[in-house]
Amino acid sequence: MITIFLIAFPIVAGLITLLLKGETVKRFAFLLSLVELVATLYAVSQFNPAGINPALAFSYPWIESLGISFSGNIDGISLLLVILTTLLVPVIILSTFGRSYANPSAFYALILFMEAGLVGVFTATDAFLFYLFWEAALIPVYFLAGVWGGERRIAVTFKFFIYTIFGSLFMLLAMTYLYFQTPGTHSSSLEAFYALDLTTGTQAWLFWALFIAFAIKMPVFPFHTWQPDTYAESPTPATMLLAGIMLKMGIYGVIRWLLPVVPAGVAQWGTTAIILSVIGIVYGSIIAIRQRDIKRILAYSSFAHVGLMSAGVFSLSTEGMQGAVVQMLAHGVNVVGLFFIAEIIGRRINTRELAQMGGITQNAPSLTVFFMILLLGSVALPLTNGFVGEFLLLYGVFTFNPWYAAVAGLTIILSAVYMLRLFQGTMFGEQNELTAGMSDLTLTEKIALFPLAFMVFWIGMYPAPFLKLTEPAVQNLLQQVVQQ
Amino acid sequence: MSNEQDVRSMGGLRKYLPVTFLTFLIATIAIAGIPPFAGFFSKDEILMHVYEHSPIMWVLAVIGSMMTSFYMFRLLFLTFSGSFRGTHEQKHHLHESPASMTIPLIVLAILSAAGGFIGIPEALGGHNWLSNFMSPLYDLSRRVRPESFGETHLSHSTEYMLMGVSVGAALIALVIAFVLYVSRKSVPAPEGERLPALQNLVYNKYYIDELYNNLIVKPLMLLGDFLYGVFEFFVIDLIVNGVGKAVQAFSGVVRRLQTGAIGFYIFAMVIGIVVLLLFNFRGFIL
Repeated sequence: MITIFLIAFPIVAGLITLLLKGETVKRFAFLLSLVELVATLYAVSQFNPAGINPALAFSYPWIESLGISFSGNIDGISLLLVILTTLLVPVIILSTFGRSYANPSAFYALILFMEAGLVGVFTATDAFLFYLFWEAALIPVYFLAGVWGGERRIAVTFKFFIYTIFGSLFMLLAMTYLYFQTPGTHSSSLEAFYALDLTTGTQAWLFWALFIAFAIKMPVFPFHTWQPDTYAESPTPATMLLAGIMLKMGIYGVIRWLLPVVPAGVAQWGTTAIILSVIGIVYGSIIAIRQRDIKRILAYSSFAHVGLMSAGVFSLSTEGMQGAVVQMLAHGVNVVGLFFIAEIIGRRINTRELAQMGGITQNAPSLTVFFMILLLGSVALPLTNGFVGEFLLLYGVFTFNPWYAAVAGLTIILSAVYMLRLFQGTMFGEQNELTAGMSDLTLTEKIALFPLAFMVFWIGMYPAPFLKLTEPAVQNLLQQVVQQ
Repeated sequence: MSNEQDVRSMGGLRKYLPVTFLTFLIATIAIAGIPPFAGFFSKDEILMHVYEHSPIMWVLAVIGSMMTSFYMFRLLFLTFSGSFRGTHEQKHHLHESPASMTIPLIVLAILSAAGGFIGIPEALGGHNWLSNFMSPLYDLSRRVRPESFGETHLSHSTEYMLMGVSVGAALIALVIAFVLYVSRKSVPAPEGERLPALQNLVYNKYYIDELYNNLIVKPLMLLGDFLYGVFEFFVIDLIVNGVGKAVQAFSGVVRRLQTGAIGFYIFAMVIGIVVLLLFNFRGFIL
């Protein structure tokens, strides 16, 4: 029941938000998203990582004659991503308190609808339900970017939408095919898909159909060109939703709907997927070094980081998979924090050009401290959250092939180069006319950044609770892959 | 000194910064390895073990420690002896540091003067308390590689010889530095002056920074510009947008079938029926 509540409540909350008017709607939306977070914490308290959790599963007949059911479940991996979603949404809403958006009730309703779609994606165990949520999560962000975005929003959002829909159609094709392969009156449940016995040739094309859909969403090289433009042009809350949570849909899709469903396809093409991911790490990092717009630096850095997660998942090792799951949480926290910092700077001095900044630290010491914490998390300094994930991921890739790990390991150096360049360019150096008028963080901004900074240290210093939460689920999944 | 760090603009600071001078002097003697200050004991210990392992390495290490002694005394003399070479403005502002800085200096100076006594080697009648204290830490390492973590087997006379050479080297370096920078009062050449080739190489840190810059940094930046400016937009995006353009072009063709002109529709239907009939009755015709 609690799982259904987690999916349904943001929809209800969004509808209520739509009915309200004026600026108070943001406070209301914030409170509602906190209720969702509390509900998630309740689910965590009910969760037993080692065993099965009937209390968190639901299954109702939906289109019975077709074998399609309304069913979902929460295992460790799902739970971690639900925690990520429901933790970040309140932070994202809180981050908007410092500015006002036109038509606020629609703006906040869309964020809440998006939350429902995301929780749905992370919990659905029926292919058609999964597909439904997958597309449903895309629509709110399309409107957020298309209506509240920057100057080039129409062209950019159009490309983003068409690109991702294009990928999703491959997934729909693959899932429909899988559905017709199930015995009897057919079923679209995850177990039915797992039980299929398909030839290697069939699995190979199914692999590509599913991989393209997930690879576009992450994005993996070379399916990424929608991403930097969309991140830069979207209003920052939408960028946070995209980078913080939505890209995890792609990785989650691979973990849940690709690896165990077409293991022979993975055996055949997994290496190609890792190579593309590793190329993306280096390619994205090198481009990030040369970017001039803060949001674009973060966009390319995010693209590089997701490449490592993808490579870790396809390494099919416990460490790689565990690393990817922890890194999804860590990256979500870091990237949302960093985009918030970029937004704060941009809001204060009306530019995102690195060349026009410098010396911000003189007027804004608290901003500098939070920026530094999140930055260190992002470059994976030991004792920060990024280190735990990155270490496990590199270890996982290393067990697969040391050479790939060596190339992927360049991320350690390159990410330090572009992030420290970003930090130097904005925070240090001489003040100029623009940055001289910079003011420090407001109380609300500090409250929004605090939980993120806290998570950077918590996951970095004591990752055991998160690893324990997900380990049985990861083991189950890998066993599923190996069995076939 | 108003943030000045160039020794060429210093000199004669002994008069103005007596505490700094005295602590600096103690630190210099210690780091140069002159007994009985701390540096001597630690350096002696290291050199002795190196000698046991390989005498050639020991020679190199002694040359290195001789250079340490030279550049430290050079720094000391250039900074504190002679007469002040800075501007009048700077001279006017010269003053000793506040207690918050001199007290830590004094504490550190005492340690570098007396710190060596915790590890007096047996050859000098001590018990090497430090070595015994640390010994349990290396237990595991000693079990893995007993030859690297054992006690020294050198005779006391060899040890005295080694100490004598290293102390002698340090003292010779001291004397050279004294002659050059106190007696002859020479000062390093000012910025921009042409230096002899070897000096120039050393002054520019063997051009290692430039080497890194040219071999790694610049190519990386160029690659970044290429990937972003060329590859990203003219290769990947061209393909991506090409897919979109291809769809548009195709729809442009198909669009002509949907003009709403009934005449064209009927014409297309008739052709279709004829083709179907021909297909069905192909046995008759052929």
